[in-house]
Amino acid sequence: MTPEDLQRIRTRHFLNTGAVGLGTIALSHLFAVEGRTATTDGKLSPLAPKPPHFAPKAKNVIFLFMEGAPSQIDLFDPKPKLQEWHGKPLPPEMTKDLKLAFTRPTAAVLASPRVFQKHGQSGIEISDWLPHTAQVADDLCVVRSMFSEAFNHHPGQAMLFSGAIQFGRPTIGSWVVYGLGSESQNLPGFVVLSSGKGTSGGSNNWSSGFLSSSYAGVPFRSAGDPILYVSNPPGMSRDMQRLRLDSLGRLNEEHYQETGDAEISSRIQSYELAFRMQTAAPELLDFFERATKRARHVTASARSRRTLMR
Amino acid sequence: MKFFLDQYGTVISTERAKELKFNELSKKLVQLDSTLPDVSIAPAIAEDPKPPKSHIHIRGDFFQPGIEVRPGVLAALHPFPADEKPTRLTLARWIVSQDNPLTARVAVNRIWQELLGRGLVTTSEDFGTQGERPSHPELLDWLAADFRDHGWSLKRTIKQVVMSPTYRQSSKARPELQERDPDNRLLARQNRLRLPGELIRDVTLAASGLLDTRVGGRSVKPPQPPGVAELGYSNSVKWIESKGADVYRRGLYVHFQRTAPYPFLMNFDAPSSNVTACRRERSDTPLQALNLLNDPVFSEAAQALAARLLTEVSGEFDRRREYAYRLCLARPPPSEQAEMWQYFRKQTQLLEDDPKAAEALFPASGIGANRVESAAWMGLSSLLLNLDEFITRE
Repeated sequence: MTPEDLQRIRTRHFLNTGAVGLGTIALSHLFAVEGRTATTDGKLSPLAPKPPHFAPKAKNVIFLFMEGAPSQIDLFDPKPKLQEWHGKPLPPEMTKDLKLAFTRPTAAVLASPRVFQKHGQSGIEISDWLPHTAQVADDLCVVRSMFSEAFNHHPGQAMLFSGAIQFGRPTIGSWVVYGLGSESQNLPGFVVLSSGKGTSGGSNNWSSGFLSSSYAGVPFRSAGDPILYVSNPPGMSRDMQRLRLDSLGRLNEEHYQETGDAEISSRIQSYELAFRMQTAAPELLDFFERATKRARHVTASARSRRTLMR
Repeated sequence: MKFFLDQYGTVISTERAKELKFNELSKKLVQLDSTLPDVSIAPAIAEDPKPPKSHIHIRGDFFQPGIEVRPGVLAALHPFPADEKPTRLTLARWIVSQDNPLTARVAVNRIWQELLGRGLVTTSEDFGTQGERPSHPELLDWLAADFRDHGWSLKRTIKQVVMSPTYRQSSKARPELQERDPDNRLLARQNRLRLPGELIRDVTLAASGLLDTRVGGRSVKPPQPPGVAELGYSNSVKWIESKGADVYRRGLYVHFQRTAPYPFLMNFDAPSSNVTACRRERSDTPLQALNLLNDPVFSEAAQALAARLLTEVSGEFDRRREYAYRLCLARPPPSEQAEMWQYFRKQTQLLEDDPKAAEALFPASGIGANRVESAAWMGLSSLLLNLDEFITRE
């Protein structure tokens, strides 16, 4: 092989693997930083970062779910057909054999009383209830093609988060963590911020379904510890906790030397990470308080009872 | 009834038994019993002579019936008896028939999985073409046949496995096997297995002496921080903590609220209860560490273990440490090990400077030891309860 050949291969290789290649370098750096390289027996933590199949554009996904907000048909999803049928029952061919929870199929149709106008260059239709949002119409992307075959809250949420109206499927966050792992080992990869009260779906909205529960969302809390059990037990000072962990680490290390089981060194790491989470907790709490304040603000202005943020 | 009378008769006073005429009643009961006809069978479920039509529900929706379906079995498996009506009983017989090796294989594989950490067929939920092939097909068949031919006795099969030389091997890593069988598929040694969440709770409560071993009964709700249950279905979940001994019942009795499950169980890989799961991941996360280090349930166990060490053993540090090792790890401590003593000494120093901390860490009084010493033992107990060895089946 001539140097030219080599050069060609290198170039082609770089082009082929381009972004992924660079991503992999970044990942191996992260592996090293976080001390989470493959354990000696070749097993990886289920949350270890995995190289993506495609060059990623997004760095993070933030998903805001505002349960209890006004209906989209009053905000940005005008339904002209409803205006047509307002006050009349649906045509019999639609209601034949139709069974609905809570509602008689022959009930009269109610159109939105709101007035819609096109806004911005994109011409997104937005109701008079959102005059300020209307001003930034061109910064928004509105998807109106989503529908669910169930109209009740819980199945609707199951549909949104897992793609099926029945619970039991992994939710979108679980799939992301399953497919990509998590870069941060200090904090869980899939977190749920809630404004406090439960959604209709409860933990089904961040469940890992049939995937291992390692991929389930971890709720961050709006009161008490932001992460469960991140505070020391009453009386246990930081020095005492450190002392406890140091001894624990050495005793576990002793046992590792004896058994040679790499799982033990991985557990020693986990305890150290837990301590780092504890030290990061005040910072996190601060962030969280700001986030929930903001969420409360959103909640208040949208009259939403519950906010879920991921 | 007679059994009840006889048992009850022995725990109450003779006077009271006489007063209640236990002996007479018991004799009368025997007489009455002898006049009863033999036990007969009463049908609780009967076959519908005109079964309703069944359809495939398109995408699980019962409003969208698809093609009509009739009872039958997969063509790839042994045939359904042609001359029998396709009833539940026929299905049950078909499942356990001599021609069906799958039932017994699947059952013994689950047992193997729990005891050795991985089934002979790793995909214990899938013995089909998408599943993995068995690592030891002949062993699987032998165990399955043995299970089936001995009255489907789970006890016998468990005994067969745990008394086998394979099970009884040491789980220590063997460097010479690292290259040849890194995943230990061939089981030249035993595997170390982190316990499932429920059992971590059990061993912790058992070591501390708190465990309530009663069998059966209602589920229990151990303490959990406020705000957890509130995330359940529309904030409708009320987690009313159990009281008394119920708080210390085994992990399998912990109430499972599907929309707001008990965090400890979820941290330790309990599967979501909305779907069936044949096996669990054994993950290792910082959240688990936080849970064992800081959850009040586990702090209470550490306090109870400390109280136990202080009251059940008198004398010097080493004797208590020895007892603690036996309670938690079922082995004596290594004689040359100084780590525990070092910890105890330093923790005592920290506590002497901070009497309030000692009181918070060990609030109980009246066990004869001073507060600082008790609190230091509490710390040492929690150390033991957090050891990897403690939560692992070696």
